[in-house]
Amino acid sequence: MRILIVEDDSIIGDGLMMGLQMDEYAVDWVENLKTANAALATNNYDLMILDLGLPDGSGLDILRKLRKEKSTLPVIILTAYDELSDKIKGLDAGADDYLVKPFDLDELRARVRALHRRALGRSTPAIEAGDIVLDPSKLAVTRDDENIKLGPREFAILRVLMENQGRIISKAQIEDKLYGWNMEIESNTIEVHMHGIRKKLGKDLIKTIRNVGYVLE
Amino acid sequence: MMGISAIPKIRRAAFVVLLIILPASVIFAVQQQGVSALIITALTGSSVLLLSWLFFDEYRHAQYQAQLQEIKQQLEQINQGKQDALNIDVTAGPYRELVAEINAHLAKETERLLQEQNFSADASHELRTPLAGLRLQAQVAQRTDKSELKARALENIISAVDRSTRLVEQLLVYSRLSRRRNHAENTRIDITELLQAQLLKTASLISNKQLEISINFTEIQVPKILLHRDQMMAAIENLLYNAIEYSPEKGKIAITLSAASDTLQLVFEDNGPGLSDKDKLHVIVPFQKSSSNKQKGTGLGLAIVDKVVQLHGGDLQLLDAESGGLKVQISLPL
Repeated sequence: MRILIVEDDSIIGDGLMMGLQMDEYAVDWVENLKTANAALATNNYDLMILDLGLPDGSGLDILRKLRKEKSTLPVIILTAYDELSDKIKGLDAGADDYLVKPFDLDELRARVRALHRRALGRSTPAIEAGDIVLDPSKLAVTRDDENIKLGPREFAILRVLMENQGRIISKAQIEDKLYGWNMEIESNTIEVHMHGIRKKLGKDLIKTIRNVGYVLE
Repeated sequence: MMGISAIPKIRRAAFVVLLIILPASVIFAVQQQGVSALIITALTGSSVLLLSWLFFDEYRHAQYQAQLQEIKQQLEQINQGKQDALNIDVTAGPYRELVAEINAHLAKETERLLQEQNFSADASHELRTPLAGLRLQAQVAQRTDKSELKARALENIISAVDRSTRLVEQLLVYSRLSRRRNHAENTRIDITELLQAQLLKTASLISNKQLEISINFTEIQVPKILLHRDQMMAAIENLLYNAIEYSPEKGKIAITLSAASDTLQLVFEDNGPGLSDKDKLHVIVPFQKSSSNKQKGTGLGLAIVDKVVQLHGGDLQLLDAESGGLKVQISLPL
């Protein structure tokens, strides 16, 4: 999953980025409306965390613009005011959820998971594929109720493929969901991690479609 | 007071005299039928006029008493918070100016209260932001098992604590300024002394950024002026702090002191990003930050400077420096 954070306070923004990266998401952070619009135009995000009071305008402007363009991007707004009207305004402008500052990191992480799950049309927290179960909240994978220890990147790749079960996902798409702007990608990393996953979960789980990508049936 | 209480007594005496004159004049007219009707008419007519004037005056007096009573009752309501202003028609009476003065005072008080409420709301909002950052970073430090993330989070926590501390200090300085000024606390001070003290305090910040500071005096002897030491110290501290904060690395800050016939002028110029004309109006209002540098600063620095200058009967102007930075010009009466 790739997340865009729009937050002008450097300490909150940095904390959000570090906190969400702990869940192995690709996270990009921008500090104003202008760069937020540029980021949204050039990347495919799965979720946006939006602060309302930005230096060059209100976060609600982005939200209204997105919804006008019929975007279904899940959006969580952060508001510094605990006034009811700000929450109502945000939700009515198209936000899916809100958090009032100061908020709890674990609560934010849970809300991110819940929104993403609903956006994918899933109601159960865990994702199942045959005898393999992936639990996004615990960053854990089991096979026949037995814990399988995956590395953080391996887990993230498996999560992308399991969320898109039956669909072919290109290497570039996987990289897009794994690495934010500030991260270096080595050219053969995905292949290396794929090898690791297959070693732990069996060769047949993920098929390679030559020159196209990967698919989990 | 004497005049007001004496008038009814005179009126009452005049009334008694009239009560005697009127029947006397009628009796006189009946007895002296041959006398010209003119005298009778004039006498009775003037008596009636005097009488009606007296009655009207008695009535007016009662009316003013009632007005005073009404003012008293309404003031009680105002004290109980049930009413905002005196709502009473006294346009022609002696209490017109009194009611206007009371209402003007009440309006000022209401405005001050509203400003205080807004200020508290803004202050709590400003404090919430670093607190939210602190909580988030503390949780990151708690949850992560990567040592470099932990170190980064702790670093951020310290900087958020520093930011909150400065905000709390500035809040205190500003709230002290909001009280009425006590002229007795002013002493004759050489402003260069205050400047030197603040430069010393910020020396490490200045050298960290490798800033070049030039201090220019156009007069050999800067005249001492009546100042409130702590207030003016706070103003100079904020001016210097701002200039340092917004200057680029190796930037230049120029401080100029000059004296004219009746004013002392203190000018701070930096070569930072400066302020747009719109922001120049904004930044002296508490918590209104410039649109480009929203997260830097506490939002109180220039509000403090403006208030101190006002309390000293001076004038603050924000201008463009030749370098494109900000030029803050303060004129203080000598």
